[in-house]
Amino acid sequence: MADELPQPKDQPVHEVLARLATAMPPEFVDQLPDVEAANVKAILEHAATLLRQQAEGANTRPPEGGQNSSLPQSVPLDLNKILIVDDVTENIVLVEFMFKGTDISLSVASNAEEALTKARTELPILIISDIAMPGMNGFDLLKALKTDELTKNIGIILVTAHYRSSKEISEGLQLGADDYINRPFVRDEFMSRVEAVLRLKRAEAETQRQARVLARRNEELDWLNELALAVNSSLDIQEIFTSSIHRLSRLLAARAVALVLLNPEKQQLMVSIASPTGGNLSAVVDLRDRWANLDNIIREQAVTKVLNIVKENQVLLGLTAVSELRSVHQVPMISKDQLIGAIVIIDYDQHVVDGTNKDLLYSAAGIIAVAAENTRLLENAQALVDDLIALNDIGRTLTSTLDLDQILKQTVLLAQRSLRADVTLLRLVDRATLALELIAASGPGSELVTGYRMPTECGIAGYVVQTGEFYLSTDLTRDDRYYPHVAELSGYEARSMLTVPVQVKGEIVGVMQALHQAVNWFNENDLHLAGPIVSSVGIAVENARLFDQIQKFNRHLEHMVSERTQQLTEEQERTEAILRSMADALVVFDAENRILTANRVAEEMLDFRLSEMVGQKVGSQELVSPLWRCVDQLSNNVDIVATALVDVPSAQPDSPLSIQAYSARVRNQIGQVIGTVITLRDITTLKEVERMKGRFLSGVTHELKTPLSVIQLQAGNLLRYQERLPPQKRNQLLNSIQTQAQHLEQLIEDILALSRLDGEVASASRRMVDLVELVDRVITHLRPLAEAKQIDLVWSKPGGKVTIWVNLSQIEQLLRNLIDNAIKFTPSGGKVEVQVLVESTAQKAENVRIRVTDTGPGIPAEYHDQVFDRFYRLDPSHTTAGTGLGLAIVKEVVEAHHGKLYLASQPGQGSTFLITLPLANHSGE
Amino acid sequence: MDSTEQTNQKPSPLILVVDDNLEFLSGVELTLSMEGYQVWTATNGQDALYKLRAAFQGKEEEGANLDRLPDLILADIMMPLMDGHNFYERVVANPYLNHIPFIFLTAKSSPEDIRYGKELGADDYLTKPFSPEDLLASIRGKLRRVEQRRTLTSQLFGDSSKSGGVVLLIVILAALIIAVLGGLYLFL
Repeated sequence: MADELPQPKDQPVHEVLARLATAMPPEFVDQLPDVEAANVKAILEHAATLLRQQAEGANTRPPEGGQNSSLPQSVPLDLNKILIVDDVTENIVLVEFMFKGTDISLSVASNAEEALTKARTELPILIISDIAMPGMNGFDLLKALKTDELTKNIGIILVTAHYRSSKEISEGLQLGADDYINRPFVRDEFMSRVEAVLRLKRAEAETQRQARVLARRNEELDWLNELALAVNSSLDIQEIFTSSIHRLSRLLAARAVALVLLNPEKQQLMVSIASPTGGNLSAVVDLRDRWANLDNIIREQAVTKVLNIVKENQVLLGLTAVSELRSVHQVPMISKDQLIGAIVIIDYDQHVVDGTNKDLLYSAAGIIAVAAENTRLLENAQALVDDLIALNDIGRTLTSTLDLDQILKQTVLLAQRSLRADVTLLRLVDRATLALELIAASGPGSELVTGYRMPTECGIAGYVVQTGEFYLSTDLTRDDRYYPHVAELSGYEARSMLTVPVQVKGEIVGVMQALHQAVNWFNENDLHLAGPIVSSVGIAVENARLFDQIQKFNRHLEHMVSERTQQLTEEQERTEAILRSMADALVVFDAENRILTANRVAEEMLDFRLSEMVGQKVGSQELVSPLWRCVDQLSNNVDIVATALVDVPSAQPDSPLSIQAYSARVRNQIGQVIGTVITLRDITTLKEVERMKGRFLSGVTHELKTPLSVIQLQAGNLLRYQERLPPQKRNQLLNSIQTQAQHLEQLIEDILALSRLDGEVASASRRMVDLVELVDRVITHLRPLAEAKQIDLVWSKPGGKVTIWVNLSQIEQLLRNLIDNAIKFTPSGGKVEVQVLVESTAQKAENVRIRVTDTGPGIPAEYHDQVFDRFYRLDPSHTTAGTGLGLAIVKEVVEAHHGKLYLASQPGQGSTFLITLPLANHSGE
Repeated sequence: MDSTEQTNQKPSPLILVVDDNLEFLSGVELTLSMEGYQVWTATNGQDALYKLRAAFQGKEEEGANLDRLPDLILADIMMPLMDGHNFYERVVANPYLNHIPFIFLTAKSSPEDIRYGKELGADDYLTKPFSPEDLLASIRGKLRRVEQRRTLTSQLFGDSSKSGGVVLLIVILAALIIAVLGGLYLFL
């Protein structure tokens, strides 16, 4: 039978019982003579239900307030205590006897009331009670016990001396008794029953205990879960604190629960305090002192500080009798093996924190620590992201501009932001003076410090420049190197400073400094962050400098280029001016006989446009022209220098143009031929002039030969026929010879005079001459000639001087020729008149007029121009002495002096020659 | 044929001198007359032609021996109104004057001038200045030939007045011969 019973190994008791209840074998029932099967079943079921409820109910029971307990637990029963209730002392003694030798401790009550009281206070596992008692009987006791939460789980065995009907038994069982024992006891049976109930109850108690533990654990877990949820659902440390503190406060029901969190970046303790009355506060405690050990702060100072705060804020926290708050517990909050804070619990009661909730607190502390740490990490991550963004910004900004000033300003601003500094400074080494110049600054007082110069040996900045160290000052008042000029200049007092060198291609060109008025503001992270900022700056500064240099250089280059261009332009213009002003045509060919350049005259002479032909060879189109052929030929000519003469048909078919071509090879410094220069000169007029000269010369020779031929002939005649010739005839011949000789002499002189006129420079040997005096002289000289012919020579001499600026000998010759001519051609008894007048016109320039009038035969109008030709003779028979050059000379002299020559003459009316010459002004023109 | 004229008379040669320089002209006239020549003078080509025309047209002209033409012409080149070259060409173009020897007397002495003159066909070219001897040397030879020709032709044809008729006769004969020859050619 025993082996048909299910073995309750790992199954919960209630299940076992339940199964038992459903499948209790009938034999078992038989074994229990006093108990009906249905009853047993009911008992078992009941027991099972109870147990099940205990087990499940513990999990869902909400936390209850209450002193020392917020967890749903029934108070555990004393597993070793049995209460015996009987009004008969002997029965008690008997039972006591039964239990002798066991480790059960007994408690006794003689009546139901006493039993109740003892049951409540001692909480025995089992009560063995007589039914028949005065006052409250066993049943009453049973009822009372079962209605009391505290005692309802106590096992009860009812003892009766009398056999009771099963109805009574059922009643008792229904009321909740666990068993019946009849008196008299059979020890074994008694003990067995007791043990059975004990076992049951103990198991129940154990189950309950386990359930309680489970429930409690579940509640703890729930609480922790909720805490964790609440704490992790917020990223605000303050919220975390608040929710944590509230939960802790409710959990512990301590007078004050404080959360202390260390913020090393800000060097503060964040303190949140809550009291169960609902008051709470947050505080931030600055840690002014230099901290050596974070742990110490928490361990040593947190509590004190919290206490201080609590005491200060007792009203808010709803606390009284603060001085009696003695119990202080501290639960450390550890994250990643580092102490980051603590939960401080203050209460009157020492046992507010005890074994039961200590683990919970530690777990809670862990959760909060994790959450706080997460928040901090998140903050850090945010900060890091911010930093990265800032860095990116810096990077982008720095590379988007090459304006050095812009870069520096942006840098210090961004650095200030990223490093969370109050003031950022950028100093650069001035290579010229070897001083550190404060180039850019941001923050309060930045305008006041910008431009400050300090020697590179001074201060922390100097130190960093020299060593290239990344320097972190946590308290400037304790740093010997600190040179507090910034404070002096701007009034800003810094306590923390971060100094990093700015490097460009390995060379330290300056430093960047971040300042803050708090101590210990910056940390290693900031140093690391500063690194990239500074390197960006370094690169950017170098870039900007290079760009600046390049710009300067560019400007210089541009300036040079424009200068040079201007020079070249001027040179080119000069060259072109020269080319343009050349009267000759110029064509330049390059080494490949392509036209390089030509001047305007060339374009006209060769009838082409340079713009069309530049860079090309002479084409077949051009070679039609003889001039082009000549040019082409010359350009191909190997000789260094070559000339050619070309006759080119011109507008007048009978008079071609004569062009002289001259070519020269151009060589560079090495001696290579780089081109040919060809000049074309129109020498038509030159040729014409030469022809004229030739004609003149032949005219001259002819003229010279004429008297000579007479001389030769007549002299020959004289020699040949002198005896046969009468002396009269001989004289005649001799005279003729002499006359001709004189004529020859005159001719030679005139020719010489004319050639001198031709060759003289216009204004050479001119001087101020008094015309009146000159005319006077000439007249005086020629007067005998006039008198010899009985010609009246009249000289209308004006008063005063008439100054002209002339070539004296030429004007003298002119006057002589005119007057001499007049005398020569005026017949005997005639009149020659000479006048000199000063002519004033409306213009400033004044002229002088020379008039020579004669009463000779006159000159027909058609000969008025010819008269001035060379060798022109009115009398072709040469009877009258005259070279034919006199008037030609007059004309040339007048032209040379920029004067004018007029002739008024008609046959039979004599002739008047009029000459106007410009008067001299005082400047000598 | 009147041979009495020829045998009785041997007139001195007549020389026409044309030059615009009066002094020179008188000098040459002196030289020639001293040598026994007869001299006509003119100061330019136009003037000279007048005289010549008058001579062969049988007109009275002042200062000219009207019944004869000059035996020799001396002419300067550089003259007004009509220069020597033109005068020459006019002379040789004239059948009556063509036979008269022509000598240029001129100061134009360049080789080109001389060549030009010779090409024209002048008989001689004298460049001034020259001495009387030079002049006489030039003209004597020419005059001798003139004389010879006159002698020969007068022997042949009588007086010179017939020379023109002789020429005509020769021309007619030549024409007849050509006609006959031509007719013969056509026949053959």
